[in-house]
Amino acid sequence: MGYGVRVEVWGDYALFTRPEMKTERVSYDVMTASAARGILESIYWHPGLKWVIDRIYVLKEIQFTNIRRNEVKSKLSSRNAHTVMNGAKNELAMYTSEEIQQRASLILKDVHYVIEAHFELTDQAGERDSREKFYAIASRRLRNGQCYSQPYFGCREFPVQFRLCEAEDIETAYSNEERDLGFVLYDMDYSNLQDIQPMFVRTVMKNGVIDFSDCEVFR
Amino acid sequence: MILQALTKHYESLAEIGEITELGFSMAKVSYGLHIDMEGTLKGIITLKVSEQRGKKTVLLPRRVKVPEQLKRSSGVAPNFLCDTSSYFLGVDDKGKPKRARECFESAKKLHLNILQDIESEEALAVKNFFESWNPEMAEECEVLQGYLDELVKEGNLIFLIDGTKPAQEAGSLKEAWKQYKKDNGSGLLMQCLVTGEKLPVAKLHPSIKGVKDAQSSGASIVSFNDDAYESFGRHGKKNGQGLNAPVSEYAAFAYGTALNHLIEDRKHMQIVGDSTVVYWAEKAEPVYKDVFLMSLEPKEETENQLKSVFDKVANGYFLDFEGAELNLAVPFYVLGLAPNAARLSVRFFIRDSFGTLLCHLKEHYQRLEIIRPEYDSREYLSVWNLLQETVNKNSREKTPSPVMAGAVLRAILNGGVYPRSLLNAVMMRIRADQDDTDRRIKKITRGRAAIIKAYLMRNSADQLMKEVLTVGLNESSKYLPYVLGRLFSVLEGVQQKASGGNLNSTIKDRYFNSACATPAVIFPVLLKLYNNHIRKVDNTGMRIYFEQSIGELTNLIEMGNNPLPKRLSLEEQGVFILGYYHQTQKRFEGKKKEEK
Repeated sequence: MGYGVRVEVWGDYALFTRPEMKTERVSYDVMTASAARGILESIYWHPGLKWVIDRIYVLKEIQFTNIRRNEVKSKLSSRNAHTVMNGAKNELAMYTSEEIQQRASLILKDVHYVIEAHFELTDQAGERDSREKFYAIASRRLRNGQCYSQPYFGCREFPVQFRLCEAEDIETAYSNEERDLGFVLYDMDYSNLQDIQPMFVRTVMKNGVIDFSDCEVFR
Repeated sequence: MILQALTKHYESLAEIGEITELGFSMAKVSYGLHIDMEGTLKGIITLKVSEQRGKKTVLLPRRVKVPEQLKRSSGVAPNFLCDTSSYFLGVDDKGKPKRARECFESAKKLHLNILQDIESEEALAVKNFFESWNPEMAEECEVLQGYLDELVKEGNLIFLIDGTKPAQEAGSLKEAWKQYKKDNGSGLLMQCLVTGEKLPVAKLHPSIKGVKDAQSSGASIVSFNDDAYESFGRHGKKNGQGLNAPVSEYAAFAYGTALNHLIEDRKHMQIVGDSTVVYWAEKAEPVYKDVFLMSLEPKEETENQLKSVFDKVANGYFLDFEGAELNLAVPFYVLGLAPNAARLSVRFFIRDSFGTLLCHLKEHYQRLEIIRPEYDSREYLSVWNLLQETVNKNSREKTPSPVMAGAVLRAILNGGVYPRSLLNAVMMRIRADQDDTDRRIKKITRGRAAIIKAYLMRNSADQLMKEVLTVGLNESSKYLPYVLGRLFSVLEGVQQKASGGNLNSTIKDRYFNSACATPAVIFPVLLKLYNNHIRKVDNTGMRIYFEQSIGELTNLIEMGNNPLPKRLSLEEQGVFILGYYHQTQKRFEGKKKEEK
């Protein structure tokens, strides 16, 4: 490996929605691997690399709070959009005041994690791409606080603050505890775009660290 | 997390035989149809039970274990062995005979289908009934005379074979139903989020009944009834909504049954704000819930018991309570549910060891401890009492802010900081309320002072402030807001003495709020008034006593360039109120001694 990075991320709120409770959202206790991947990808991504999350350190105690938000209950229809693109004179809009719905969320408060990840080269990497180059770019971007899009904790409303973590030892909030968090979403399997499947891992937080490097993925 | 815990609870309930088995649920049944072996309707048997509701005795449907029932909205969908008159008799009072007929036909089809290969006596009786019954005969049927009006109006019916044996209890019919359920599952295998096994996925999740303000027919925790909630092509109409959240049929049944079971237990269910709160220990023994209920909502009768529980909680791993031994390390869960649209939302979910939760409650009560007036004999203020202090007694809706209520309970059980909204709400009530004996409204009550004390103790790090957060009066503290509060109380006492106690409005009514918020503006006025009042106190001893007290208090105010603060922060105002409360209690105490 060798080219792992540690990224410290923190923010006021976070919402890593459980799939079973995504209507009245309830967050997982901790960040999911795919949320961590999303954060890294919004900082640095290139077709020639693929981020792999190894570990997540939970630096602050898990706390919840409630909010209610106004949302809409329907999606814009893609078929409708297609017909408009092809010249039909349909109405292409959603009237939020008619579709409005209030939805409650149980969200995390005051979160702070360290993401430990590495990347692998994909077959799309060009001749001049190398691990060293990607690593140099990624760490420079992390040091400078650069990102392609604002990274967020599960929902766009909850922005992430980040920096490169250069500390050797990371102190977690659960130094002497083992906690079973049950089945947590690991990532989505996009190999068949017609049938995207969720993948889950049995997550156990040991001493405040969740290790994804050696876990069985269920799909 | 939530569903896992509930599923586990279901399993431990099943172990001790407290709960229905897979494929069955409890339903409210009003009448039994007495049929004989040939399937002829012989009579109607009332199954209602009388129950005491306050002063009245009412007849309520009996709760009976029946095959699991469908979620029905408007379509025709029959249930097995337990259904309404439309489905079993083909008559109802909805004024649509055609529809009732259709219902009957569909029920007939379902029963004949499930029972086609079953040859037991009970199965034959039910089959014969459906084959021979003709809905058009209902009006003339002698057996139904006198009952028909009641039957069509309400409730479910079941079959009683020979008038005694409920059909759904018969072994052969049970087996037939289980087999039918098995064959008619979604059949789609997916990784179950709860159990982790590959099992058939539940298309729809069970309804949870009995949550306050939710639909009486039940609402779901897990539902995807609009397309904004669906993801990645898991469209409800095509695949079944449940695919959005792969939960197995077994887990869905188990968590739903367990949750309904918990909510049904009215004694161990609390309403906090707008949330319905249930709690359970992973071990299904009800004694855990009893102890928890006692600590959450202490009553005067149980205070001593509670005290001994709290004493024991701090030391040891076990707790003996009325002969039962409780393990303090047992995981305990508290779940708060609130309705939102047609669904339920989770207000909070707390998981901790039983002992830790009790410890947090104990600490909370310790923080709340404050000197109290003679007539107030309650040692502990329950969460409900606490929240009532934030409610406007004049309003029609006497419910505290729902979000705050949830947050307060969460803070208490987690041992976390109290929400700022609690202090805000209490201070607002103190500002808005005036003493009114007719309506039993008091501006500053024991509860309000206790909340302020507990809030500041838990949430503030100010050392100077901490020294006045005591149960009774701290006479040595020089903390200015506190001293000013005390001073105000004494000034009020002087006025009362001077006037003989018959005033329409006192300085408390007029000046308390502004003295509390902007002392520098008001105290000069108050001290001027004091000079007028003290002259009218005709008892010399009393006058000297007051003059001494005022002197002592003004001495505590350290004179500098600017002795009185222009304004106080909300926390400081809290301390002012605490000072006022402490001093006032002291005044009454003194008065009592005098009388003796």
